[in-house]
Amino acid sequence: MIEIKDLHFGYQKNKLLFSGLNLKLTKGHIYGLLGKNGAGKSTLLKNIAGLAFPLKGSCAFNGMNVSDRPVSVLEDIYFLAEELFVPDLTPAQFVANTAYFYPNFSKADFYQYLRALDVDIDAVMNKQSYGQQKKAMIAFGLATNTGLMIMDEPTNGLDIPSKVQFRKLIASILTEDRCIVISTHQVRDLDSLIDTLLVLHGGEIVINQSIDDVIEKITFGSYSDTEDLPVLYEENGPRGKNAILKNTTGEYSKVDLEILFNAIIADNQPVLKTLNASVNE
Amino acid sequence: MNNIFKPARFGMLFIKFTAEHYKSYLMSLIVLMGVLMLGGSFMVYLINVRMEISLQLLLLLWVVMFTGTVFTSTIFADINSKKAITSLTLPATHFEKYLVAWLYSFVIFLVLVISAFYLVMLFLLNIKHFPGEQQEVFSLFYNVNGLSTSVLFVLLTIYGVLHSIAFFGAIYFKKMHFVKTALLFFIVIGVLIICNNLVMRQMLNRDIIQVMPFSNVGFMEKGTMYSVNVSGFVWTGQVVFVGMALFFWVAAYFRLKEKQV
Repeated sequence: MIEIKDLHFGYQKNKLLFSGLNLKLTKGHIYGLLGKNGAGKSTLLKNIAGLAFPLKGSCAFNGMNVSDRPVSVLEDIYFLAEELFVPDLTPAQFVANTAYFYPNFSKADFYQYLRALDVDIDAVMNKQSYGQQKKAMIAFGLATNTGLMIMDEPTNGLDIPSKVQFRKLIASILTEDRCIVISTHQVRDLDSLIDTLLVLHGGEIVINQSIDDVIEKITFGSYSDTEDLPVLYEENGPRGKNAILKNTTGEYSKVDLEILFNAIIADNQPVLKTLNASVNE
Repeated sequence: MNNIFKPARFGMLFIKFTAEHYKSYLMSLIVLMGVLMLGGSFMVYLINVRMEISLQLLLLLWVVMFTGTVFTSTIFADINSKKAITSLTLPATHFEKYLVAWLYSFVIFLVLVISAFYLVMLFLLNIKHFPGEQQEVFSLFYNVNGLSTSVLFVLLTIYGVLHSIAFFGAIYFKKMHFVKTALLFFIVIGVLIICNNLVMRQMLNRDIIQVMPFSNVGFMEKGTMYSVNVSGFVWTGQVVFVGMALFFWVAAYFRLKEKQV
């Protein structure tokens, strides 16, 4: 669906954010894009959506160059930006003027999502709180039924019940024809939601693995003492040591995205080597 | 053709733009009418100014040029703010987005502002009766003295150039569009006048009195000032104006195509 080849990009030509980044995103997945502040997550998403143009290399959506922003591409992409804009309209008025542009838009889905997210259908959107505005736009984005849905920090500003609803909705809309990319630095919000982990660090995608592959290779746990354990990375926690271990038993554990992310951005080579080794190694 | 222009999609885009902006545009128009009425009433009542046709023309030109360029400078506000991602990823072509902005800032603006101006003038001409013949509102097809062309044509040509420059500035600059465009415009005009004077001095071999390009030329000879004016309509100046307007409109389109966030 998305193919990025040899992407070179920087806001200044002598200070590149990416130099030779390659990435392939396929349908039927929910990708979680993680990275430190300033790592270039939003910039990468903008390149994917044709909002920023590569200095070198290419970014294609179903084989079409996204930088041209052709209507056939835009109709199949919905980008939920971190900085929102909602007009001085109610959700119903907004849909009446905007749904036309998305051929697969479903009004029934839209109203269902609004109800699920507890958004007032008759309230003027820009008079609502930031969280309500965000939820209205999430509902709209999901109802567009576009092949690619890009969400930049979608859970910022959402309260806890809304985050739970958001995760449920995202999980419910994934089909074999859709691809969802969620960028966030609030890694806990992605727990049990994403099926593929992307970590952007140092201008490169250092991890691009399915969660299943990750838990096949490493396990997570809290231990009072990690001596004699195949520890790859550890950090002190309130109840002992939180550690990433090499999965030698083949047992599955819940992925602790926070500690995994910390290990990766600390350039922990044992973790990176284990993850990037093939499963049979 | 669908990749450049689709009438139904353009229609929806126009409706969407209208729905999202009409309140602020309408308020601005009412404020403009209020300012014109207040200022005009002050002139008519307190300083007894009679609204002669020449004064009406001058006021119209000033109102259209000033408010038009200020308004046009804001026409691409959606793609220079936090709305940029929403606007640029909206599934419509660059040409359709461009055309909506152009129609609003050129055609619709002119129709509404000229109509508002006429209403204000009708009001001002009727609030006080001056001795002599009752003054009338000028016609847009009235021939401007010495130009043998209509007010409308002069207005369209001059506004066309200024609009195209403001339109380009609105998409080119990220912030303070009007101030930056106006500053650059005046610098370029200043340089053009200097160059024009130098060329005129070379051509006429006389002391030139400051002249604007494509206008009359004045010079001093043996203590007497001479002014050479064209006797009829000058096509060259108009053609240059139209050419400039087309150039900046096309440049603005390509700038929109390559707009990044």
